[in-house]
Amino acid sequence: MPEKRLRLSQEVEAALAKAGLSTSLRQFAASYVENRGKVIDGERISEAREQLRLAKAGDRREIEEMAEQFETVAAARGAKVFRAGNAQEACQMIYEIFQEHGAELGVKAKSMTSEEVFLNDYLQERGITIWESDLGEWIVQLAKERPSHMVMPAIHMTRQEVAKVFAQRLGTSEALDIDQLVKVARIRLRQVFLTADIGITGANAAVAETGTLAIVTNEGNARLTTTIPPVHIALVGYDKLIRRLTDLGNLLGVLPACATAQTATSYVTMITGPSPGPVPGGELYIILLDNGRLDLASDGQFSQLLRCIKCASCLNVCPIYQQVGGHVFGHVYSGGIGSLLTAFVHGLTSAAHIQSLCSGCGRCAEFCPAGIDIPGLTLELRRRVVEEEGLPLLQGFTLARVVSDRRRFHGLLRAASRLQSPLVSGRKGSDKKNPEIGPDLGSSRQYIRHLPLFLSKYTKGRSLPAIAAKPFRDRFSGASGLPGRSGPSQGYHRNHRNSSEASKPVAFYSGCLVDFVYPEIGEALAKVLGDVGIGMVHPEDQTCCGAPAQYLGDYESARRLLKENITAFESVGDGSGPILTACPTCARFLSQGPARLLFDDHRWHQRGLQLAGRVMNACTYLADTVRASCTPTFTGPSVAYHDACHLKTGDRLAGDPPPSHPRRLLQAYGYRVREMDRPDQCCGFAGSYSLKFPALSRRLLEEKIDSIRGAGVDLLAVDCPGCLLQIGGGLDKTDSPVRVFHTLQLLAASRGL
Amino acid sequence: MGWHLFAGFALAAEAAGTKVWSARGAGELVESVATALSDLRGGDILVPSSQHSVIEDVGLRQALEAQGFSVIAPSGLSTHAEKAPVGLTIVDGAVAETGSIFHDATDYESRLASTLPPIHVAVVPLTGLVRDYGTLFAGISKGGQPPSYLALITGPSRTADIERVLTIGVHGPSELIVIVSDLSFAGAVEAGVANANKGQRVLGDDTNA
Repeated sequence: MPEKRLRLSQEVEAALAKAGLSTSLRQFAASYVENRGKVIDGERISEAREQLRLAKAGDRREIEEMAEQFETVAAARGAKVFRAGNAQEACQMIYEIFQEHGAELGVKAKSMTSEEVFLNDYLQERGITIWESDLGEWIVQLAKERPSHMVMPAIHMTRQEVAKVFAQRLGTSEALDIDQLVKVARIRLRQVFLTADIGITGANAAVAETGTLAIVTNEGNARLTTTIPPVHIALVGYDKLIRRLTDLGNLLGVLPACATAQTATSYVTMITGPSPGPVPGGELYIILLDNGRLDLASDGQFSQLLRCIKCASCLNVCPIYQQVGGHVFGHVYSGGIGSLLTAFVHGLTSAAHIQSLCSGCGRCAEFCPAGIDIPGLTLELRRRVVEEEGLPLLQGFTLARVVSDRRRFHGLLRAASRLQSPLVSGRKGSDKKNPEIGPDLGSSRQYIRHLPLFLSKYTKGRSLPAIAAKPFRDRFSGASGLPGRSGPSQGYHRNHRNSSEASKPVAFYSGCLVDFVYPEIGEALAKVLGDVGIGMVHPEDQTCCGAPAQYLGDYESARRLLKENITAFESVGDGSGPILTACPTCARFLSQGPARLLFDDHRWHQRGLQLAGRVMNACTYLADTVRASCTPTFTGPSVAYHDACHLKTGDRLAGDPPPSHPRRLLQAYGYRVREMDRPDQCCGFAGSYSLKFPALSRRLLEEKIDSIRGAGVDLLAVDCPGCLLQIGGGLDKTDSPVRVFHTLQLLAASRGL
Repeated sequence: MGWHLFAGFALAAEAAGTKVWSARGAGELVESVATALSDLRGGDILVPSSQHSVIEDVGLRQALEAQGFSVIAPSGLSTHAEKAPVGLTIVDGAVAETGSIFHDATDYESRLASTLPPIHVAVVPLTGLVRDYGTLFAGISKGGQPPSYLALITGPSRTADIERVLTIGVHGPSELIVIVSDLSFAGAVEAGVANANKGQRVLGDDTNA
């Protein structure tokens, strides 16, 4: 496993180094989101999710019934229907059909299913020539590569690279432009169509009710593949089964919009039984392929993958895919959905290393028209990988031995604070920054800019913040003059408008980063709350939320930590009332963790759900309760807002704007909010991810820094200490005049607190 | 059934790169085909055999021949058929929302005529114009079993597989010309379909009700 991990890191670095790849994928991503928004909106996506849920099978029994019905009806219309259990069986069946018809040349329309079973290799090893007819697939075939994208197989290649491949393989000029390259394909492949013995396709849908196959293309190659050769073989995964013909109408309404941002593709070919051809004896063979799909259908958590329509929306919006492409982030199927499908069709081992590339930002789930919880299932997949293969040694040691033991972990952090001193320096060039931009935003942050030896890659492009000399837990309950656990102190009543409703104190869950690196964020929250007369308590027994453990697949540690936190907060506020966090990842984990991790233990599950119902992000709470009572007292500097991945609500739909409440809150406190380019693009921190794939994380950070620079603002507000760490470190390294703060710090500063 | 869906269809179809004409009566139909093809200097026009008599009935064949074209059936795959610059088919209908035409292409010749040549002229009977996919698929469902080979065509053949640059005319026609006509063509459609598909209709009878 460590060797594989090393190889993956090398592949990542190689992909990042490939000039133009990331630029073209990013340009595509940007135009994809914009163009898709023109043809489909969030409401229609909601509808599609419900329609797909109804159209497709939910479990193994249903899918087997649909396969049965499809087979009966298609056979009655004259098709020969077979079932293949695995790749080997499918390839062999197809080879036997070639032999039966004395066929030597096959032409194929684009089919991911045939890629999945490595059909071309199998047939070519047995003396059969197969030509791909989709332009992208043909290019990739000529280049002896594999597709890097489910919809656009050759998206990783430039026109010059394509011209070069054509020159080498077909003897054409190296100087051909795109139009000419397409003409070459038309002429060469037309000859293939006219002489092929057998046409091979996949299908985008198989209608159980009528035995109909639907094939969607833009080029028209499937039309020729299924018209000219007298024999047609369709290799169709069980997952393509839909119930009714009317479901096909719905599917056709959403697939092109999500796949290529089109209202409709140029061709939809719907085939029900064989059609008369040039010579009598034309045949239609349909092979229904299992290859792991029935196991998938039996799996309570993963069966939702059957709803995937292979539109590749999830790839198109994935920040990791944009950086490294589908050859690195994928096996045959690429991206987040690819790693999940791979686990079933090519096995857990093949999937293990792809899934580790997911940063967990959750953007894919927003855009998925099938409503598949890709990030959630990736975590579940990770859990299964860890169960099978164990945690990588170092991570396993850290988590199990240290993080899950609060005293030990906190002791270690305190020791680190003392030991780091030779590496720490004050904020670089803080003097040359314009101090006139607004309120006093506190003392300069201390940073670790260089780590020695092999650790240096972790501070390349990003400074790491120093561990605070005194953690929040000590500062808060100590002699700092901050409101302690007894309720609001006198000093924070100044602007309290509703003293008659002086509320019960709210509880604060600080999380590791706030507690040990950014205690000032916790203090800012106490001040902002105190400002409106709300007290705050910080239960001492709270510990790490468990998210890092879950992200690494160590569910045992995650469960233990969750239980400790449940206990720690039950005694606060009679076990009710809000628990605020300044870290959206902690908030998300504490709200979702109980349902995911404790469902099999009734008592803990109930207690966990109680906790989950109380947790909320501090900025969401403040937007609801405090904003109304606050009048801006100053005209603040300009602020851009970076949307933390985990703050965006889980059910936000593609095309919806990023949440407005943190922005409104900043405005209410007097700041001038200005939008930057792609405010909701992941900054690349993603917890331990930035340590696992530092080069990848750094690239995402560089893009974020560019967007911030483009916004021309004085300040950047974030609601996540992880983003603060990542972006703050990046701005520090690049000597940017922009300063980044947690929203809570800016709110406190604007009130002069 | 009137022209109320036509404007929507034309807008969507043109957005997809289709050239759209409307024709009232046989005279306008003949005239629009002639005008649409006026840049060409004759050559073969592929028309499925089953539709030859219909285009003769409306005077289209005679007009095309007067313009220098030869109307031929794409029977078999002679180089002759492969080299024809134009294919003409009378299709079954169109979908206003997406600008698509739909075509029972079970007849082998109608598939060749609509796919091989660089220009495809599709004549759509106005009575076959439906609002959206929902109406279309509900109609096909009501008609019982769908035909063996049903096609939706929206604009010319296209690709964006090289650097995502849109390029027209990869494997299919680079030009799709649609003429929506108020003639019924009942004979043509029925004959063609019956010929190939044992009398099954694409749409149930009450689709457009």
